[in-house]
Amino acid sequence: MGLLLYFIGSLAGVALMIGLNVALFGRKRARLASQAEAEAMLAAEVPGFRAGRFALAADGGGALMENAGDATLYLIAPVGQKFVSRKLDRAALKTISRTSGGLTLQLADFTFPQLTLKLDAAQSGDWEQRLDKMLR
Amino acid sequence: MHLPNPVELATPFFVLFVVIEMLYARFALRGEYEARDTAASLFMGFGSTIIGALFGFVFVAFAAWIWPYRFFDLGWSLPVFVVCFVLDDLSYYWWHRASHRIRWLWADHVQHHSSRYFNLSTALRQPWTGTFTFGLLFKAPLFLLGFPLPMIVFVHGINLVYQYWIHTEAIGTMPRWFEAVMNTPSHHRVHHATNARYLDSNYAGVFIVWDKMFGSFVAEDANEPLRYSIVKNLATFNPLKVALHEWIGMVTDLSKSRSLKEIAGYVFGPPGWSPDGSRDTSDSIKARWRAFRSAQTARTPSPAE
Repeated sequence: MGLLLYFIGSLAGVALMIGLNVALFGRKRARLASQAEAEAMLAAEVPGFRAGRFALAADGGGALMENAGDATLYLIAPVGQKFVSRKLDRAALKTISRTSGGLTLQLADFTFPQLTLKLDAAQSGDWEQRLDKMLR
Repeated sequence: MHLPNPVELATPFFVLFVVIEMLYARFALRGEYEARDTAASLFMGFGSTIIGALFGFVFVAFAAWIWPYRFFDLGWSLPVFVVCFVLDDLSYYWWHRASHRIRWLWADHVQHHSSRYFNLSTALRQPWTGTFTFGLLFKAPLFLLGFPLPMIVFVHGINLVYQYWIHTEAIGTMPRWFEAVMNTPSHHRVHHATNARYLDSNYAGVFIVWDKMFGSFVAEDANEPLRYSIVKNLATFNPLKVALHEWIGMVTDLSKSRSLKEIAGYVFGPPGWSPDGSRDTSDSIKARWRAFRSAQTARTPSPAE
């Protein structure tokens, strides 16, 4: 009985804390504003990172960026109010496809949801080609 | 002897201090909260409590099995309690250090580190799979020395309650004498940070002196902003995925293993180990960072130039 009460009390506490969190901080989603923002993020994460080619989704919902130092490619995606980056290589990238909405990437990482980057046709084509070459 | 459960007694205060810290973070702009991250942490904590209640018997069974082999009968007295507390913290240090260096243990402990935030709700993001890692073997010396089971459980509960308050950005640093001996928010921020210079440091539970003794201490540098979480940040707030992601990664790697050496490396090697060294471990990240820093320093002209 004591343990049951403890669990019920804990659940009530959980509900209170989540509710207060939403009330105080809202439910914003991160949006990438510029190349500089993406570059700063990768420079902090990857020692010696130098920005190369770059494509930013029109709605700020992600970006692709090259490290000019070693030609590696990175994906930056918003997750909640922060961004997550992934180095794109043959092991990491599962599929890539171009649609009218942009470029859709599916990673091998099961925690990473499928992401569609809203890029214009020229950018989509260019990056699809580069990523496709990497997959082959 | 019947002793209370310190964690159960402290739970209402855990909730109260999260509320206070949220208000402080919102209005004093010191600290961050995100609802989905908080929810993930709290459900991890809640799930961990349920799993603890279901599988607590494993710890008791282990204690009952090892108890007849003890060297001493230390009995119940205040000095024995104090020594038990200190030695339990030492065993925590080594368990914690192993949990960052051995993938088998990391697959469990990573769950606690997976939040991008460092606040009091992060303290409650507790793993679900600890029972199955046999990390309790690190407690064996305490039983063999003859500390009674209820005493070990009690002092470990106090240890965990102590570690709650150090998960915060709301406190800068404590007085110097306190920072020198005790684990503090400043030391523990370093432990949760993924900046290359901070990886694999400050494993202490209560006494930071263990890190200083065993060479794993790194002080917080106020000039370098901290980035929290894990080297490969998770892109999910789903508690089940948080709890299982590294285990699933390990099973996937094992399914591709071609030798016993590879199997051993994937299970008992450091997190990120791979046969061809193509993945990042904390050691390789630190080495790259040091090389980059050295190159930068070499390139920077001295004032005389």
